[in-house]
Amino acid sequence: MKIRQNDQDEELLKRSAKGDEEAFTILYRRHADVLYRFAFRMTGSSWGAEEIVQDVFMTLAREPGKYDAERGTLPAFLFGITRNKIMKYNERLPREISLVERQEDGSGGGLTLRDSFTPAMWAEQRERLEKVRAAVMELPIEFRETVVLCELEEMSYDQAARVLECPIGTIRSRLHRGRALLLAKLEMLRDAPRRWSSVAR
Amino acid sequence: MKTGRLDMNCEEFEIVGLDSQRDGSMSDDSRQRSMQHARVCGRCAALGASWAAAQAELAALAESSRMLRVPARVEARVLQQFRLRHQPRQERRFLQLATWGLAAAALIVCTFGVWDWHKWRQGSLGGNITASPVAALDAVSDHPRRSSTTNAPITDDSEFLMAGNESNGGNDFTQLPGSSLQDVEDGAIVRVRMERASLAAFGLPVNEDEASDWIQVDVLVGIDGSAQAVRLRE
Repeated sequence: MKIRQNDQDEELLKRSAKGDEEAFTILYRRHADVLYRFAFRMTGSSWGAEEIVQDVFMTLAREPGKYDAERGTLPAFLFGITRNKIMKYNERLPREISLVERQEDGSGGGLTLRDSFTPAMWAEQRERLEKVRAAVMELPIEFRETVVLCELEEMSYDQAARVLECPIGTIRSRLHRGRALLLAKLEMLRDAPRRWSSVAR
Repeated sequence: MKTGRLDMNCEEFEIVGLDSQRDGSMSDDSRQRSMQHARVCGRCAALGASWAAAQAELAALAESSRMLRVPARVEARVLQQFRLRHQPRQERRFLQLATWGLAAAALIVCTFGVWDWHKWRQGSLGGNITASPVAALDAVSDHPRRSSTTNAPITDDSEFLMAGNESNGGNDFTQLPGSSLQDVEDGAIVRVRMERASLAAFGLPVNEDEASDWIQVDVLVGIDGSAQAVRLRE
Protein backbone atom coordinates (compact mmCIF):
# COMPACT_ATOMS: atom_id res chain seq x y z
CA MET A 1 0.00 0.00 0.00
CA LYS A 2 1.36 3.38 -0.97
CA ILE A 3 1.86 5.94 1.75
CA ARG A 4 0.42 9.37 1.27
CA GLN A 5 1.80 12.43 2.99
CA ASN A 6 -1.59 13.25 4.44
CA ASP A 7 -2.16 9.82 5.94
CA GLN A 8 -3.31 9.97 9.53
CA ASP A 9 -0.74 9.69 12.26
CA GLU A 10 -2.39 6.56 13.62
CA GLU A 11 -2.16 4.77 10.29
CA LEU A 12 1.47 5.78 9.90
CA LEU A 13 2.24 4.64 13.41
CA LYS A 14 0.67 1.23 12.77
CA ARG A 15 2.82 0.81 9.72
CA SER A 16 5.90 2.02 11.53
CA ALA A 17 5.32 -0.60 14.18
CA LYS A 18 5.53 -3.22 11.44
CA GLY A 19 8.90 -1.86 10.37
CA ASP A 20 7.75 0.46 7.58
CA GLU A 21 10.58 2.97 7.43
CA GLU A 22 8.82 5.28 5.01
CA ALA A 23 5.87 5.69 7.36
CA PHE A 24 8.20 6.32 10.26
CA THR A 25 10.11 8.92 8.26
CA ILE A 26 6.90 10.78 7.45
CA LEU A 27 5.94 10.77 11.11
CA TYR A 28 9.36 12.02 12.07
CA ARG A 29 9.36 14.84 9.54
CA ARG A 30 5.85 15.81 10.50
CA HIS A 31 6.55 16.26 14.20
CA ALA A 32 10.28 16.52 14.81
CA ASP A 33 10.71 20.25 14.23
CA VAL A 34 8.06 21.40 16.66
CA LEU A 35 9.33 18.99 19.31
CA TYR A 36 12.86 20.19 18.68
CA ARG A 37 11.86 23.83 19.14
CA PHE A 38 9.98 22.97 22.31
CA ALA A 39 12.98 21.06 23.65
CA PHE A 40 15.35 23.83 22.65
CA ARG A 41 13.23 26.47 24.30
CA MET A 42 12.95 24.39 27.43
CA THR A 43 16.59 23.38 27.71
CA GLY A 44 18.34 26.26 26.00
CA SER A 45 20.64 23.74 24.40
CA SER A 46 20.61 22.63 20.79
CA TRP A 47 22.62 19.53 21.69
CA GLY A 48 20.18 18.73 24.44
CA ALA A 49 17.24 19.28 22.13
CA GLU A 50 18.76 16.95 19.54
CA GLU A 51 19.29 14.25 22.11
CA ILE A 52 15.77 14.64 23.40
CA VAL A 53 14.15 14.49 19.96
CA GLN A 54 16.18 11.42 19.12
CA ASP A 55 15.12 9.76 22.36
CA VAL A 56 11.49 10.63 21.76
CA PHE A 57 11.38 9.01 18.34
CA MET A 58 13.31 5.98 19.47
CA THR A 59 10.78 5.57 22.24
CA LEU A 60 8.04 5.79 19.63
CA ALA A 61 9.79 3.19 17.48
CA ARG A 62 10.41 0.92 20.43
CA GLU A 63 7.02 1.13 22.07
CA PRO A 64 4.42 2.29 19.56
CA GLY A 65 1.78 0.44 21.53
CA LYS A 66 2.06 2.96 24.34
CA TYR A 67 0.15 5.44 22.25
CA ASP A 68 -3.57 5.21 22.83
CA ALA A 69 -5.59 7.15 20.27
CA GLU A 70 -8.52 7.35 22.64
CA ARG A 71 -6.48 9.31 25.16
CA GLY A 72 -5.39 12.03 22.77
CA THR A 73 -3.62 12.90 19.58
CA LEU A 74 -0.19 11.67 18.61
CA PRO A 75 1.34 15.18 18.82
CA ALA A 76 0.08 15.48 22.39
CA PHE A 77 1.53 12.05 23.14
CA LEU A 78 4.86 13.05 21.64
CA PHE A 79 4.86 16.30 23.58
CA GLY A 80 4.26 14.28 26.71
CA ILE A 81 7.29 12.07 26.01
CA THR A 82 9.35 15.14 25.14
CA ARG A 83 8.34 16.76 28.36
CA ASN A 84 9.47 13.74 30.36
CA LYS A 85 12.78 13.68 28.54
CA ILE A 86 13.23 17.39 29.20
CA MET A 87 12.61 16.81 32.90
CA LYS A 88 15.24 14.08 32.94
CA TYR A 89 17.62 16.25 30.96
CA ASN A 90 17.17 19.13 33.37
CA GLU A 91 17.66 16.84 36.34
CA ARG A 92 20.91 15.70 34.80
CA LEU A 93 22.18 19.17 33.94
CA PRO A 94 20.47 21.49 36.36
CA ARG A 95 23.18 23.96 37.07
CA GLU A 96 24.54 25.18 33.80
CA ILE A 97 22.40 27.28 31.55
CA SER A 98 24.42 29.26 29.13
CA LEU A 99 23.05 32.59 28.05
CA VAL A 100 24.26 32.08 24.52
CA GLU A 101 23.82 28.70 22.97
CA ARG A 102 26.70 27.87 20.69
CA GLN A 103 26.31 26.05 17.44
CA GLU A 104 28.84 23.65 16.06
CA ASP A 105 30.51 26.43 14.09
CA GLY A 106 30.86 28.50 17.22
CA SER A 107 28.21 31.03 16.35
CA GLY A 108 25.32 31.76 18.62
CA GLY A 109 22.47 29.41 17.99
CA GLY A 110 18.75 29.62 18.06
CA LEU A 111 18.23 33.31 18.00
CA THR A 112 18.28 34.74 14.53
CA LEU A 113 17.27 38.26 13.72
CA ARG A 114 16.11 38.65 10.21
CA ASP A 115 15.42 42.37 10.17
CA SER A 116 18.03 44.54 8.59
CA PHE A 117 18.95 46.73 11.51
CA THR A 118 22.12 48.63 11.91
CA PRO A 119 24.80 46.56 13.63
CA ALA A 120 24.25 48.47 16.86
CA MET A 121 20.50 47.90 16.80
CA TRP A 122 21.02 44.31 15.84
CA ALA A 123 23.41 43.78 18.74
CA GLU A 124 21.05 45.53 21.13
CA GLN A 125 18.07 43.49 20.08
CA ARG A 126 20.05 40.31 20.13
CA GLU A 127 21.20 41.07 23.64
CA ARG A 128 17.66 41.79 24.65
CA LEU A 129 16.39 38.51 23.22
CA GLU A 130 19.12 36.60 24.97
CA LYS A 131 18.03 38.15 28.22
CA VAL A 132 14.41 37.27 27.59
CA ARG A 133 15.46 33.74 26.81
CA ALA A 134 17.55 33.59 29.95
CA ALA A 135 14.57 34.91 31.95
CA VAL A 136 12.40 32.14 30.52
CA MET A 137 15.07 29.57 31.26
CA GLU A 138 15.24 30.66 34.86
CA LEU A 139 11.57 29.97 35.47
CA PRO A 140 10.79 26.87 37.49
CA ILE A 141 10.14 24.00 35.14
CA GLU A 142 6.37 23.75 35.62
CA PHE A 143 5.93 27.47 34.91
CA ARG A 144 8.50 27.42 32.12
CA GLU A 145 6.79 24.66 30.20
CA THR A 146 3.46 26.43 30.47
CA VAL A 147 4.95 29.72 29.28
CA VAL A 148 6.82 28.01 26.46
CA LEU A 149 3.75 26.12 25.29
CA CYS A 150 1.31 29.03 25.55
CA GLU A 151 3.50 31.97 24.71
CA LEU A 152 6.23 30.59 22.46
CA GLU A 153 4.53 27.60 20.88
CA GLU A 154 1.29 29.60 20.83
CA MET A 155 -0.83 26.71 21.96
CA SER A 156 -4.29 27.36 23.31
CA TYR A 157 -4.87 26.72 26.98
CA ASP A 158 -6.86 23.66 26.04
CA GLN A 159 -4.03 22.23 23.91
CA ALA A 160 -1.50 22.94 26.63
CA ALA A 161 -3.73 21.24 29.18
CA ARG A 162 -3.86 18.13 27.02
CA VAL A 163 -0.10 18.10 26.50
CA LEU A 164 0.61 18.61 30.19
CA GLU A 165 -2.25 16.31 31.18
CA CYS A 166 -3.72 18.70 33.69
CA PRO A 167 -6.92 20.75 34.00
CA ILE A 168 -7.19 24.00 32.13
CA GLY A 169 -7.44 25.82 35.45
CA THR A 170 -3.97 24.55 36.34
CA ILE A 171 -2.65 25.96 33.09
CA ARG A 172 -4.23 29.31 33.85
CA SER A 173 -2.82 29.29 37.36
CA ARG A 174 0.70 28.28 36.27
CA LEU A 175 0.64 30.82 33.53
CA HIS A 176 -0.38 33.49 35.95
CA ARG A 177 2.49 32.71 38.28
CA GLY A 178 4.91 32.17 35.45
CA ARG A 179 4.01 35.52 33.98
CA ALA A 180 4.47 37.18 37.33
CA LEU A 181 7.95 35.74 37.70
CA LEU A 182 8.81 36.49 34.13
CA LEU A 183 7.61 40.07 34.36
CA ALA A 184 9.61 40.59 37.51
CA LYS A 185 12.74 39.31 35.80
CA LEU A 186 12.14 41.36 32.71
CA GLU A 187 11.48 44.44 34.77
CA MET A 188 14.77 43.87 36.51
CA LEU A 189 16.46 43.58 33.17
CA ARG A 190 14.97 46.88 32.13
CA ASP A 191 15.95 48.47 35.41
CA ALA A 192 12.39 49.51 35.71
CA PRO A 193 10.42 49.55 38.92
CA ARG A 194 8.58 46.31 39.60
CA ARG A 195 4.90 46.71 39.17
CA TRP A 196 3.98 43.20 40.12
CA SER A 197 5.15 43.09 43.65
CA SER A 198 2.03 41.38 44.86
CA VAL A 199 2.62 38.10 43.07
CA ALA A 200 6.25 37.94 42.02
CA ARG A 201 7.75 37.01 45.32
CA MET B 1 -7.36 45.68 45.50
CA LYS B 2 -11.06 45.88 45.10
CA THR B 3 -12.55 48.64 43.10
CA GLY B 4 -15.92 48.26 44.63
CA ARG B 5 -17.67 49.66 41.63
CA LEU B 6 -16.53 46.86 39.29
CA ASP B 7 -17.47 43.21 39.06
CA MET B 8 -13.85 42.08 38.53
CA ASN B 9 -11.27 42.85 41.15
CA CYS B 10 -7.51 43.24 40.66
CA GLU B 11 -6.69 39.73 41.75
CA GLU B 12 -9.13 38.25 39.28
CA PHE B 13 -7.74 40.54 36.63
CA GLU B 14 -4.20 39.28 37.25
CA ILE B 15 -5.34 35.69 36.94
CA VAL B 16 -7.76 35.80 34.06
CA GLY B 17 -7.91 39.34 32.76
CA LEU B 18 -4.37 39.72 31.47
CA ASP B 19 -4.83 37.20 28.72
CA SER B 20 -8.51 37.70 28.15
CA GLN B 21 -8.04 38.13 24.41
CA ARG B 22 -6.28 34.79 24.05
CA ASP B 23 -8.07 32.59 26.54
CA GLY B 24 -10.63 30.81 24.42
CA SER B 25 -12.29 29.25 27.42
CA MET B 26 -13.19 32.65 28.83
CA SER B 27 -16.73 33.86 28.41
CA ASP B 28 -17.49 37.10 26.57
CA ASP B 29 -18.93 38.48 29.77
CA SER B 30 -15.71 37.88 31.71
CA ARG B 31 -13.74 39.39 28.88
CA GLN B 32 -15.87 42.52 28.93
CA ARG B 33 -15.52 42.82 32.67
CA SER B 34 -11.73 42.50 32.54
CA MET B 35 -11.51 45.18 29.87
CA GLN B 36 -13.75 47.40 31.90
CA HIS B 37 -11.56 46.83 34.97
CA ALA B 38 -8.41 47.75 33.07
CA ARG B 39 -10.02 50.98 31.95
CA VAL B 40 -10.80 52.14 35.47
CA CYS B 41 -7.89 50.63 37.47
CA GLY B 42 -4.59 52.39 36.83
CA ARG B 43 -2.49 49.69 38.47
CA CYS B 44 -4.02 46.91 36.45
CA ALA B 45 -3.82 49.03 33.30
CA ALA B 46 -0.08 49.45 33.92
CA LEU B 47 0.23 45.74 34.62
CA GLY B 48 -1.58 45.04 31.36
CA ALA B 49 0.79 47.35 29.49
CA SER B 50 3.79 45.72 31.12
CA TRP B 51 2.54 42.29 30.17
CA ALA B 52 1.86 43.45 26.64
CA ALA B 53 5.49 44.59 26.40
CA ALA B 54 6.67 41.28 27.81
CA GLN B 55 4.46 39.46 25.32
CA ALA B 56 6.02 41.42 22.50
CA GLU B 57 9.43 40.34 23.68
CA LEU B 58 8.30 36.75 23.99
CA ALA B 59 6.84 36.98 20.51
CA ALA B 60 10.18 38.26 19.24
CA LEU B 61 11.90 35.39 21.00
CA ALA B 62 9.44 32.93 19.48
CA GLU B 63 9.89 34.49 16.07
CA SER B 64 13.65 34.34 16.34
CA SER B 65 13.54 30.58 16.89
CA ARG B 66 10.52 29.85 14.71
CA MET B 67 12.72 28.79 11.84
CA LEU B 68 14.66 26.35 13.95
CA ARG B 69 14.77 22.94 12.33
CA VAL B 70 16.01 19.75 13.79
CA PRO B 71 19.39 19.03 12.17
CA ALA B 72 19.49 16.38 9.46
CA ARG B 73 21.97 14.33 11.43
CA VAL B 74 19.27 13.62 14.01
CA GLU B 75 17.01 12.16 11.34
CA ALA B 76 19.89 10.05 10.06
CA ARG B 77 20.59 8.74 13.55
CA VAL B 78 16.94 8.04 14.29
CA LEU B 79 16.39 6.21 11.02
CA GLN B 80 19.56 4.23 11.46
CA GLN B 81 18.37 3.05 14.84
CA PHE B 82 14.94 2.33 13.41
CA ARG B 83 16.54 0.13 10.78
CA LEU B 84 18.70 -1.62 13.32
CA ARG B 85 15.63 -2.29 15.37
CA HIS B 86 13.43 -3.59 12.58
CA GLN B 87 15.83 -5.18 10.12
CA PRO B 88 16.82 -8.07 12.35
CA ARG B 89 13.15 -8.96 12.64
CA GLN B 90 12.76 -8.97 8.87
CA GLU B 91 16.00 -10.88 8.49
CA ARG B 92 14.93 -13.35 11.14
CA ARG B 93 11.67 -13.92 9.33
CA PHE B 94 13.52 -14.36 6.04
CA LEU B 95 15.97 -16.77 7.62
CA GLN B 96 13.15 -18.76 9.16
CA LEU B 97 11.39 -19.00 5.81
CA ALA B 98 14.64 -19.88 4.07
CA THR B 99 15.41 -22.58 6.63
CA TRP B 100 11.99 -24.14 6.32
CA GLY B 101 12.21 -23.91 2.56
CA LEU B 102 15.60 -25.58 2.48
CA ALA B 103 14.46 -28.26 4.87
CA ALA B 104 11.40 -28.96 2.74
CA ALA B 105 13.51 -29.02 -0.41
CA ALA B 106 16.01 -31.39 1.21
CA LEU B 107 13.19 -33.67 2.32
CA ILE B 108 11.73 -33.76 -1.18
CA VAL B 109 15.12 -34.43 -2.73
CA CYS B 110 15.81 -37.24 -0.23
CA THR B 111 12.39 -38.77 -0.81
CA PHE B 112 12.81 -38.73 -4.55
CA GLY B 113 16.39 -39.93 -4.23
CA VAL B 114 15.43 -42.95 -2.14
CA TRP B 115 12.46 -43.68 -4.32
CA ASP B 116 14.57 -43.38 -7.45
CA TRP B 117 17.28 -45.58 -5.97
CA HIS B 118 14.75 -48.25 -5.11
CA LYS B 119 13.31 -47.96 -8.55
CA TRP B 120 16.73 -48.27 -10.10
CA ARG B 121 17.54 -51.23 -7.92
CA GLN B 122 14.33 -52.94 -8.79
CA GLY B 123 14.85 -52.12 -12.43
CA SER B 124 18.33 -53.63 -12.44
CA LEU B 125 17.06 -56.84 -10.90
CA GLY B 126 13.48 -57.07 -11.97
CA GLY B 127 12.24 -57.06 -15.50
CA ASN B 128 14.58 -60.00 -15.95
CA ILE B 129 13.98 -62.28 -13.05
CA THR B 130 12.97 -60.97 -9.67
CA ALA B 131 13.28 -57.88 -7.46
CA SER B 132 16.44 -58.79 -5.55
CA PRO B 133 19.51 -60.92 -5.70
CA VAL B 134 17.99 -63.15 -3.05
CA ALA B 135 14.88 -63.62 -5.11
CA ALA B 136 17.09 -64.28 -8.10
CA LEU B 137 18.88 -66.91 -6.18
CA ASP B 138 15.61 -68.34 -4.96
CA ALA B 139 14.79 -68.86 -8.55
CA VAL B 140 18.14 -70.47 -8.98
CA SER B 141 17.62 -72.67 -5.94
CA ASP B 142 14.28 -73.83 -7.18
CA HIS B 143 15.70 -74.88 -10.48
CA PRO B 144 15.19 -78.63 -10.67
CA ARG B 145 18.42 -79.20 -12.44
CA ARG B 146 20.73 -77.31 -10.14
CA SER B 147 22.76 -78.88 -7.42
CA SER B 148 23.51 -76.32 -4.80
CA THR B 149 25.17 -78.64 -2.35
CA THR B 150 28.02 -79.91 -4.40
CA ASN B 151 31.20 -78.17 -5.45
CA ALA B 152 31.66 -80.36 -8.41
CA PRO B 153 30.96 -79.02 -11.87
CA ILE B 154 27.49 -79.73 -13.02
CA THR B 155 27.77 -81.16 -16.37
CA ASP B 156 24.30 -80.22 -17.48
CA ASP B 157 24.78 -76.64 -16.49
CA SER B 158 26.43 -75.74 -19.72
CA GLU B 159 23.38 -77.00 -21.48
CA PHE B 160 21.19 -75.20 -19.09
CA LEU B 161 23.17 -72.07 -19.59
CA MET B 162 23.04 -72.30 -23.25
CA ALA B 163 19.52 -73.63 -23.27
CA GLY B 164 18.39 -70.91 -20.89
CA ASN B 165 19.82 -68.44 -23.26
CA GLU B 166 17.34 -69.51 -25.79
CA SER B 167 14.35 -70.92 -24.00
CA ASN B 168 14.03 -68.45 -21.15
CA GLY B 169 15.40 -65.42 -22.86
CA GLY B 170 18.35 -65.38 -20.51
CA ASN B 171 16.20 -64.86 -17.42
CA ASP B 172 17.70 -67.51 -15.11
CA PHE B 173 20.84 -67.33 -13.06
CA THR B 174 23.09 -70.28 -12.81
CA GLN B 175 24.72 -70.75 -9.47
CA LEU B 176 28.41 -71.11 -9.74
CA PRO B 177 30.11 -74.14 -8.24
CA GLY B 178 31.28 -73.54 -4.68
CA SER B 179 29.14 -70.41 -4.21
CA SER B 180 27.00 -69.81 -1.14
CA LEU B 181 23.46 -68.50 -1.37
CA GLN B 182 23.63 -66.85 2.03
CA ASP B 183 26.19 -64.28 0.91
CA VAL B 184 24.20 -62.59 -1.79
CA GLU B 185 21.49 -60.83 0.17
CA ASP B 186 23.31 -57.53 -0.06
CA GLY B 187 25.11 -58.39 -3.23
CA ALA B 188 24.87 -56.77 -6.62
CA ILE B 189 24.42 -57.71 -10.20
CA VAL B 190 27.25 -56.66 -12.48
CA ARG B 191 26.90 -56.82 -16.22
CA VAL B 192 30.11 -57.69 -18.01
CA ARG B 193 31.17 -58.45 -21.55
CA MET B 194 33.52 -61.38 -21.91
CA GLU B 195 34.57 -64.18 -24.16
CA ARG B 196 32.52 -67.28 -23.75
CA ALA B 197 35.71 -69.16 -23.00
CA SER B 198 36.02 -67.11 -19.79
CA LEU B 199 33.02 -68.93 -18.37
CA ALA B 200 35.40 -71.79 -17.83
CA ALA B 201 37.04 -69.71 -15.14
CA PHE B 202 33.74 -69.91 -13.22
CA GLY B 203 33.92 -73.71 -13.49
CA LEU B 204 31.33 -73.85 -16.23
CA PRO B 205 31.71 -76.00 -19.32
CA VAL B 206 32.17 -74.11 -22.58
CA ASN B 207 31.32 -75.19 -26.06
CA GLU B 208 34.64 -74.93 -27.83
CA ASP B 209 33.09 -74.09 -31.17
CA GLU B 210 31.75 -70.85 -29.70
CA ALA B 211 34.54 -70.22 -27.22
CA SER B 212 35.78 -67.13 -28.97
CA ASP B 213 32.37 -65.45 -29.09
CA TRP B 214 31.84 -62.31 -27.06
CA ILE B 215 28.86 -62.49 -24.79
CA GLN B 216 27.18 -60.31 -22.18
CA VAL B 217 26.86 -61.90 -18.78
CA ASP B 218 25.13 -60.73 -15.62
CA VAL B 219 27.23 -61.74 -12.67
CA LEU B 220 25.62 -61.96 -9.26
CA VAL B 221 28.33 -60.78 -6.89
CA GLY B 222 28.11 -61.66 -3.22
CA ILE B 223 28.86 -59.46 -0.28
CA ASP B 224 32.44 -60.72 -0.24
CA GLY B 225 32.92 -59.61 -3.85
CA SER B 226 33.04 -63.10 -5.34
CA ALA B 227 30.78 -64.21 -8.16
CA GLN B 228 27.92 -66.38 -6.98
CA ALA B 229 25.87 -66.89 -10.11
CA VAL B 230 25.79 -65.87 -13.73
CA ARG B 231 23.18 -65.24 -16.36
CA LEU B 232 23.67 -65.03 -20.09
CA ARG B 233 22.21 -61.99 -21.71
CA GLU B 234 22.56 -63.05 -25.32
